[in-house]
Amino acid sequence: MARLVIDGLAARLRQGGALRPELLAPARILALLLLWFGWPVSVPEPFVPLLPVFDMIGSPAAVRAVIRAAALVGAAGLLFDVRPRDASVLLGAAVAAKLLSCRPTYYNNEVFVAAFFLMIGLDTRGLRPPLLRAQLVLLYTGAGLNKLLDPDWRSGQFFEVWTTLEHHTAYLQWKTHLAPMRLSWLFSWATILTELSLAALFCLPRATRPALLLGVAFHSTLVLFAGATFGFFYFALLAAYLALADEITPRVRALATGFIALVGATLTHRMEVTWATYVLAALAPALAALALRRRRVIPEASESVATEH
Amino acid sequence: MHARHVAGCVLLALQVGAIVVARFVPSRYFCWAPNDSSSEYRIEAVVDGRALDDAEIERRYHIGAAGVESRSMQLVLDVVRGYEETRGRQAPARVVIRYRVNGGEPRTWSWPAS
Repeated sequence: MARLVIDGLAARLRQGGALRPELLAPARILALLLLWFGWPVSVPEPFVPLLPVFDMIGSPAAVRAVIRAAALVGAAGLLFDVRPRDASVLLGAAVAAKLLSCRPTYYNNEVFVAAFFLMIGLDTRGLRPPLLRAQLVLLYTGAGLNKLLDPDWRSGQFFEVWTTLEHHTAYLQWKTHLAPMRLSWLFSWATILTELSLAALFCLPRATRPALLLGVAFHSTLVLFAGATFGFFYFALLAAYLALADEITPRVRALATGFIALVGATLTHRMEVTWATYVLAALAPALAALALRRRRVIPEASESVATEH
Repeated sequence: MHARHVAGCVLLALQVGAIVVARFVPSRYFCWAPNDSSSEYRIEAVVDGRALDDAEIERRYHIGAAGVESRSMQLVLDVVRGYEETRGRQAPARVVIRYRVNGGEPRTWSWPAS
């Protein structure tokens, strides 16, 4: 009797909030990484909020407690498959609330994390989620457009200054072999054109495979070059790509999920890359190509006989 | 159309708006301009005639007193102005921020605006 009650309750909790495994796996792994790096605990009190309402709705400690609780409940819902769609919206809303409530800790990587969870939870189409795809188009369009319209990016000035301030010794060595600013100019335009290409490719469902391959290669190269995952950006993008990779088998999906978790595990608790992170980022494009390779369809013998006759 | 889908479309539309607005203002919120500039800056603040040290500036504004900002430099300016317009009124400060965006010409921002 007790078992029947429990099963019934579990069924009701899941009813209407289910997520397809193709979306649940990447959402779970990103939620797990948020918890692993202590994100809910590190949520600060509201301070110079982007939305002034966060200064009015209660004490800073209370607002922080609500945001933390929402994030933990959302993450738990995803991890234990309790109305995961609603849980994803709740977790995304919590991340967004943190960004809107504390301006000094506004980070673009967390904006994408919020967008990822919200679009996963709000999309009702299941396979090939159009909202998440549109989000990626917007991400790359905004990023590419901002750089294209920035004179410092068009001239290579940003790369020149950034690599100097970051003491990128390898880059500073490479550029001595070319005319002044030439290497920075090349890197700038490679970045701009890649981002705009990704925006265009993600617009076309038929171009998903090349978009995913280009995206993995691009972001993995960024990790190798910059020596950083840019907070949760690398993981969130890999998770988003995994959600759009509808042609892979469940086994490959599980392996890809494990790969994302492994990358996270190689970082220090302050999200600094280690040598293991570099190795995995270098392997990522090849593994993605392997995972996304088209399966050769072998016709059955009866079909080939029918064709001959 | 499902209500959830409408909500998702509204969020996307807001981002489109933010991308458009970013073309006309220096701030870069929700417009997908991540780490697009490197700005060296230093904040100097004086309260009741006494200059604050780096630790006090960091406690006051929740950002470093000096460093390299990889987000938009406008965010630093917005944080300082936002604090001085609200909580900072109890102990107002005179603030000067000196900064260079992408190694360009040195600029100065002051509060109160002179």
